[in-house]
Amino acid sequence: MRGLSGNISKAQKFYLLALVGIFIIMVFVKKDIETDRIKYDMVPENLSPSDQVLGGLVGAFREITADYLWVTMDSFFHSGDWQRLVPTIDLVARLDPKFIQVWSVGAWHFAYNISVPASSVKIKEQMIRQGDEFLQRGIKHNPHIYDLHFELGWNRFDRQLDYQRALPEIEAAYAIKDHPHYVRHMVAHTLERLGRIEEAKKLWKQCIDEGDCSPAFGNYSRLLKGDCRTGVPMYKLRNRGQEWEKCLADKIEVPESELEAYYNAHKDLYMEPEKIQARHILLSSRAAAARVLERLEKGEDFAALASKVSIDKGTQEIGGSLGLFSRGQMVPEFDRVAFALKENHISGIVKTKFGYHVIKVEKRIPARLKSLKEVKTQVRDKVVDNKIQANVQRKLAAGYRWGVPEIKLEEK
Amino acid sequence: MKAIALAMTTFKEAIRKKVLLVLLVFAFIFIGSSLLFTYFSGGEEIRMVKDVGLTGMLVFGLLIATFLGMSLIPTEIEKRIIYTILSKPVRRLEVVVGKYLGAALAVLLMVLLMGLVFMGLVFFKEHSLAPVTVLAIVLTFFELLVVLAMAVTFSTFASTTLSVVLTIFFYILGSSSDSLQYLGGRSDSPLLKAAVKGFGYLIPNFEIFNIRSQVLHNEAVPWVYIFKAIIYGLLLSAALLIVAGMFFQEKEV
Repeated sequence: MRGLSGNISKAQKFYLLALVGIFIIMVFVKKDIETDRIKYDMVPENLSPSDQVLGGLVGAFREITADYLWVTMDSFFHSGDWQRLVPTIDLVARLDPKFIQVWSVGAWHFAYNISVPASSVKIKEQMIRQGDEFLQRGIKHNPHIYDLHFELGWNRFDRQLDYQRALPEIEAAYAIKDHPHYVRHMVAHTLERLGRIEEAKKLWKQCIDEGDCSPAFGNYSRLLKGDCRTGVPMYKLRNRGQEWEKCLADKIEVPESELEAYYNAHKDLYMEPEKIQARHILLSSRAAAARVLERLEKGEDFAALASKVSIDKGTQEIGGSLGLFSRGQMVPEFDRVAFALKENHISGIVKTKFGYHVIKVEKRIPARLKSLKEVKTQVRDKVVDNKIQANVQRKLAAGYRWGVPEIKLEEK
Repeated sequence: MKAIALAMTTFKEAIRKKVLLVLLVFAFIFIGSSLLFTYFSGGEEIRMVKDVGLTGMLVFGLLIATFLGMSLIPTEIEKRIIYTILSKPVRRLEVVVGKYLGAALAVLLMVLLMGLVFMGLVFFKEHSLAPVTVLAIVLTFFELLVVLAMAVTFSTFASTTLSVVLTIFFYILGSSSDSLQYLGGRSDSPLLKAAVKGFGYLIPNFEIFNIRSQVLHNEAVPWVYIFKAIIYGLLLSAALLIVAGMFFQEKEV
């Protein structure tokens, strides 16, 4: 027994020695691997302590948890459940900071999907800011991905109208290899908004020279003609009618006297042209038209006859009625005769490319000037637009390189 | 040689186990189900397929490795086969290593089968197969080797239930190792700091084998890293097996 136990302890000693040896090698290998993991960017950097706790809790299932939340994020978006969408976006980004889509889609949700329909200006503003900060966080984790720089630049360009801060981000995206061609276009657009027309021209020229022509050509020739959009917000060009943009314009106060002055100076814009209300009967031959004229002279009702014999399918059922129309809406031959007729008079036979018409004018409304009350909204839009333009030009002339600087949002 | 003979019989026994077949079928269903998720994926279909597939392989691999590992030696003792083995001139460590190698071969077969299905699916979706995807499967296999060694080691001194619990517990601890180290490093108490650091050397860091993030984001992982991670896995397994050998040596059978 003694011999055996001595034997065992000898074996145990050997095992222990081997164990210590392996352990020492392992410590070195592990240290080496850990430096490698940082070197090859395999450990997520810039994580906050709470991100670390979260990572610790889900351990090996970090990515799959992020994916599950990503799927729920999509359903929250489709059901418009913003209250739950916001924290979910944040969680996915914390779990998998290299998931580029979550940063860009998340920022899009903040700056557009949540912000646009929000009822209060304060919430809109806050969401846009949150989208901006969210993208900045994403860039911190993924500095070498063009998407996020571009997204942030676009956000500032389109939602904040802050071209000054948009430019460095879009340029950063442009500096990263493998960016798509539209990134360069956006650099040019931003330069143009900032009044750096020569630089913008140079970029468009460069695009054309490299065969990237489709938007470059139009933009380049526009700039050559001197039609610049310095300081013009994108929404003015696209007319998306978003509430947020309306809020901006609503901020500008316009006194009644200014509206009147503009109205009086631009009366030609608010003229309503002469209009007539008429019926017609369309026929396929001159002979048929002549027969119709005969029946009308005998005193048959125009509308009733139109319903019976007109071959114009569009108006036949409504007694040939064409409703109210102004000059230029009908073919010229028709216009010429119809606008010469007096009220309740019937024309002769009029030949157009459609066939042979007989026309009856029922009512004439002479041209008139619309009252200021009727066109107040249009007048105000024009005045506000001019004010923004003038404001920007004045600022630019004074050396500011700024988008629409004086319009700041506050709660109404 | 004796260990290899033992390994072959263990492998044959292992692949005849019904529980393995059932787990394999479930794994196939799970990996395949990623195709169903793509409908909800919001434009991230390939990411879903890769993530669900790799995580499925890991989870089912963990189950397979744990169940195989925990029963290797206890069943031998229960069925009294161990006497026949130990009556031959064979060292106890050799028994442990032989049985472990047999089970490792079975795990390899399972990973290969799951991996083939998974790679087929990725190829079907993406029409290409990035090397990093294959490497992720390779590292998963070596991760499972460590888990298997853990299960074997625990089974030499603990009951079956306890060894399953311990294996799972240490796996979770090991896969949260990065975060624990970070949080420990922020502690105010130098004692706690040192304890966490020392603990970090003892607990396997399973995050080393996790390159799923690189697969999802299509980032290449250098070969030298893969090589080092494999060495780390083999060293860990060897250390665990020696511990298992020591306990087994002491065990009265």
